[in-house]
Amino acid sequence: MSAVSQLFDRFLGRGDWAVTVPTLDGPLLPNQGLEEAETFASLADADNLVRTDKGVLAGSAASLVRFGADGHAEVLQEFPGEITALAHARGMTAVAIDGKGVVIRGGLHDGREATGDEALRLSCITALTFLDSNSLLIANGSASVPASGWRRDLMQKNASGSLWRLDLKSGRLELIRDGLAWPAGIATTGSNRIYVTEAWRHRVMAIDLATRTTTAVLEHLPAYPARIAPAFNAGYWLTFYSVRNQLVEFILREETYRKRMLAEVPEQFWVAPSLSSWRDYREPMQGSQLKQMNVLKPYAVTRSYGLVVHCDQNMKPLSSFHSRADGTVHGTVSACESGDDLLVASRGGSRVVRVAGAAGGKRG
Amino acid sequence: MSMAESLVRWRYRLLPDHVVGEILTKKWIDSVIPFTALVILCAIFGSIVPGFFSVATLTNLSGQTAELGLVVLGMTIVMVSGGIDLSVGSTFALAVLVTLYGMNVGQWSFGTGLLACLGLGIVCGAINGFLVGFLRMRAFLTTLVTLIIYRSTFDVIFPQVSTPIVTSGPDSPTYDFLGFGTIWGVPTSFVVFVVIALVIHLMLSRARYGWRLFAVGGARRSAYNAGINVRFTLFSAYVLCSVLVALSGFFFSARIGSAASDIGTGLELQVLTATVLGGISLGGGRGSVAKALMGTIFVLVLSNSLLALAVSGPVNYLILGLVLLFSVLLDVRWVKNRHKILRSVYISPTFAKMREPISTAPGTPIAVNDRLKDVGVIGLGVLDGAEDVIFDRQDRLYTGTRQGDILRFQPPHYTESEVFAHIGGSPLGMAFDRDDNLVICVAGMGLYRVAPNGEVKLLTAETNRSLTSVVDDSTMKLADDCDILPDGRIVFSEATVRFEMHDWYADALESRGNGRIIVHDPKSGSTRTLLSNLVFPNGICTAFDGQSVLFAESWACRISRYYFDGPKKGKVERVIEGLPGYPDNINRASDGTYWLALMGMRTPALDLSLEMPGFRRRMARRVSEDAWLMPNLNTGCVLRFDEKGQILESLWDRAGEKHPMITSMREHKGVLYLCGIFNNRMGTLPLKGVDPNWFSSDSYWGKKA
Repeated sequence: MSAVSQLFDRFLGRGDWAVTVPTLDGPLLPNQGLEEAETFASLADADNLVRTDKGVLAGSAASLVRFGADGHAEVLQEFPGEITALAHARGMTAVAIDGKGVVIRGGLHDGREATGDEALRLSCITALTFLDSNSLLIANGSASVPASGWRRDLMQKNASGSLWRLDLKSGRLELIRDGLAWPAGIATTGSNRIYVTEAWRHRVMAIDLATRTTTAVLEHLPAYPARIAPAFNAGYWLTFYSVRNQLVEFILREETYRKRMLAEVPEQFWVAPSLSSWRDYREPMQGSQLKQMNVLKPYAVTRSYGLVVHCDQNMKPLSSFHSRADGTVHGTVSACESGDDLLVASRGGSRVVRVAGAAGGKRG
Repeated sequence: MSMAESLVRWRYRLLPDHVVGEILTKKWIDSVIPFTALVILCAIFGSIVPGFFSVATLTNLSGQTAELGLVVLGMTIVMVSGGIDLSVGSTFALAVLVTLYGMNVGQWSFGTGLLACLGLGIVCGAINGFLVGFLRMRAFLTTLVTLIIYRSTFDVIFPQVSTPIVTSGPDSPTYDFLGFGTIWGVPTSFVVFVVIALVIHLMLSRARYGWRLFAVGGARRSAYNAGINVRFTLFSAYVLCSVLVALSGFFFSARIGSAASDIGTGLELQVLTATVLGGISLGGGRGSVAKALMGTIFVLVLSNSLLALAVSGPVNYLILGLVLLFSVLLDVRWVKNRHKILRSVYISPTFAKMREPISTAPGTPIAVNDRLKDVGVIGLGVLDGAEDVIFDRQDRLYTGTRQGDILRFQPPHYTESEVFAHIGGSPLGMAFDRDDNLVICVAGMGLYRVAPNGEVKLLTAETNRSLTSVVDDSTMKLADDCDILPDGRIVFSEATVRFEMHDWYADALESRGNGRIIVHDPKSGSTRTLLSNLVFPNGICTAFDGQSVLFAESWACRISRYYFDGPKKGKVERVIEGLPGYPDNINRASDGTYWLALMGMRTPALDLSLEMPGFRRRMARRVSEDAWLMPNLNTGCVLRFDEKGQILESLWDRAGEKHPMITSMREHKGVLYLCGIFNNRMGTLPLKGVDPNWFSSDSYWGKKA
């Protein structure tokens, strides 16, 4: 019966075969908040904003940089590979290197490294968070691609991501959960519960570390959620790779085309979410993206987008900042508070923007 | 080429799916279901009812067809006008009563009887029409009430006259001839009926009154706004209906000669079943005589056959009721979903494998550059839909707009503009002829000529219809670009015959050869198609050799040459294949080469989908148009190529800030002017090292004294 109804759904485009995408509405109603925000600093591949006592850390490809209050960037260290995730607590900085693993700099456990075991290497770390001073939570996005291959992982429809706890004293790795579709962000709550984003399933999960029970707290998102940063008032800042696109949803259900596209078309020209748009004329164009009177409409469908959502402590969205189809502050996969301001790193726009006053009490 | 690919290629070559959509646009498609139902019904009963096809059965059937058919035609008229008449059964009974009383008892002549009967029809219809048309009461309730009133009148009178009617007979040979006579073996009544049906068919489909009926039934408010007398039209529909019903009663009286007290009861059920089953919409505005006939025959065949099979009357009515219910359901679903089915079936992509694009890597003539970054600007904020640009001998600049105007800008700064002529449609490609008349392709309208004094003349909007076309393709949908041959003939491209201009992307999705090149001779006024099955033929330019034209096929990304004269006359040669973008207009350059606009660029993702027609078809059905994969028209460029098809240079606006899409360009006195149909400006680029006095009309027609 289910096979028959599957065929029926496939024919009519219903159920799993529906290519509808939730609209940006309610707290996610589009605005130009990110687009109008002032540029705090220019930084190629700006990512992984983390607040420390000495300033805000960021990753820029293989360099670890620290910003002064004026936006001046100082390169702290060069790593042998692209930095894919950062975390900081109690003088310790955890740095994830793409394809290699995680290393601790400073603090009690200086020099501690973890690369995973033979069965599952930590080669695709997408997010790091200190649970306490002796344990680090690690999100490994996929078992088959490095963190930079996030689009490939999405378009291959993988669900091989996993969540780990690293005991910093012993160096022991403990698997919390696997079979995740690209876990891309982790947040602690001060209890046994942690929040994890599952990007390719468009949701945020709550996982109880003691019982390992998993519940979805925020589902059917219109975008692919990335990292979670803590907010001043016990809430969170949820960042996103890009918004979902009806054509991408459709291609994910079109096996022949999807496989041939992965095999024959260069990755930057795929019909897939992206961190930026219009870098090359060979990027695909969709109907509403056609410029009319030399204007690209902000409400056009788009492959790249900038979106940061403020959620309360139960992951209920409260408000959001956007950079829409006509903007450039896209690929905003990292945010952190700095005083009263919110800093947002735009990988696609190669800069860090400051949303003034967003963090300090200016919320409904 | 792999086996699977060849299979796909041949499947799309041999099975033309686009024909399905085109058949669905035909008007007669509404009648296909009832017609099929009728054929099936005849096949079933023909095989199980004894003597189904015998002469006696058919004679009987034709007599009944005349009577029921007249009533159905009446109902059709009312239903086309958007109403319904339930009182047909009672009107029929009254008409029979009047006729029988007059002919049998009163011994009236044929003429008197007919007039009295039709007069009764007029009275009954006028009551209905007055209530519904002028007092604007609901047709359903009103005619339900008149049904009861007319029936009661009949019931009151009939018992008092029934005995005299039975005991006497008519005295009119004409009357008897109508009832029992035959003309060439066909019952007289049926012959008369066929004549009446023909008249009504002509009235509905060809005459002004019929058009008004359809207008009122289809959209009452619009009909009113268009100046149609809606109330009178409705009134007349009811009167016509009742007159036809009365005539039917007259026929019936002539044939049967007597009446029972239940005459005409349940007639409305039979009639409604016949109309709705035939495909005459209950919503109004749709229907035809042919449909009414099909419905009538269906109902008669069904009920007569059931009678022959000894099925009892009530069961007969039950079956008829079920058929009506089913037809109403079908009618509602069909009318509601017809356009949806059409939409989802009409777009039918085909297999179109693209050649490897010519490289745009650095160092090649088409390398991406920023030469269009700092171009001058004309008409910013004034232009909207300028597809092409051209200059006259006084250096004045002409271009079209989306509103259908031809704008003229004054030299030397081109800041002042005026409306030179208004045509309508979307003016696209332009050319000046020998006598300085402006020849323009207007999308949606055809080929036009504007004289120097601004006078507009339609040159042609029709070409010869192609032999295999399902939908009439003689009218022009999207005349795109034109040029003039040395002998004065105008050759122009029609990009697609399947879509309107604003659906250009649907044609891109299909990538089939839907377009053609047409030639018009202003001397003889003749127009005929030169080449067809071209893939969005767009730019066209008479070559310097004086015996060929170059034309671009946009979605096929190639430039070809067609010889209209010389030793290769009639031949087509490829000039450039595998362009990295979609070619638009071609125009002459000052040094004997050609300028070519690429309106947009190819993307690998779209090129891949062109090899997968099924993917594109499903995308067209499932995905919103906003999200369809389309040619990248946000990046365009200008190329220059020579007679051999060698690309010499390219001009790009890498960031697409000023000229994201380029549909045309024209060199004039050392400056290149750039147009984009979706742009809000025109660009100017001074050219280095070119003849500063070169002007395209001189190149075509020589300098004027």
